[in-house]
Amino acid sequence: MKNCLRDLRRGRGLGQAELAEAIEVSRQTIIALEADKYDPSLPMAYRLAAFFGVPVEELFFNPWRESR
Amino acid sequence: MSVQSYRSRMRIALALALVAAIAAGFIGSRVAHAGEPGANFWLVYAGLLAVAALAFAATVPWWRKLDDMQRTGHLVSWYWGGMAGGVAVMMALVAGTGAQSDLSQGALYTVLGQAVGFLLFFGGWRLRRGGPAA
Repeated sequence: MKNCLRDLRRGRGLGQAELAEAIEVSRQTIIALEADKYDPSLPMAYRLAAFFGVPVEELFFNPWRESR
Repeated sequence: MSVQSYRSRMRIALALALVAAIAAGFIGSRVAHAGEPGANFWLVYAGLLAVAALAFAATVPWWRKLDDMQRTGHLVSWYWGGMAGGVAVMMALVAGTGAQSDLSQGALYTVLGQAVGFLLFFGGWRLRRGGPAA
């Protein structure tokens, strides 16, 4: 699922390991999310969105909404 | 009270699981060799199950700390990789020792046990996700 996680993370001046530690996931998970290689669960998406203080759809783009 | 990092807690949980698995191997071996094979079946079987249950219990903290990507990775790998590995070994045993050999029969019983366990857990999983229709 396309997203702007990398941009938001860099905007906060965080490394992948630091973000992973902050939301209690593995660094591999952050890498996979940023590379669009893994679609997060809803709780993980909400957790990331809450961490950055943005709505979920601002972080993970909704392809179905865009196609309409 | 010190606050441990997620990574540290994961390492501790993983170490606990590994130590428990190794300990279960040693203890299980002692239990299995407690008497003549087949004698005191229920006692030995119950002992071995208890050892296995404790080893499983020791992995719970690690499992609960996994994030959903890691957990999915383990589930997918266990389903496809575990099944493929088991079937490959079973076929090799059948090809090498015959379908009626003790080794082949043992492998077959193991696969049957896995299938029954799978069905039980899948049934429970489905039941827990039920809700009112409409």
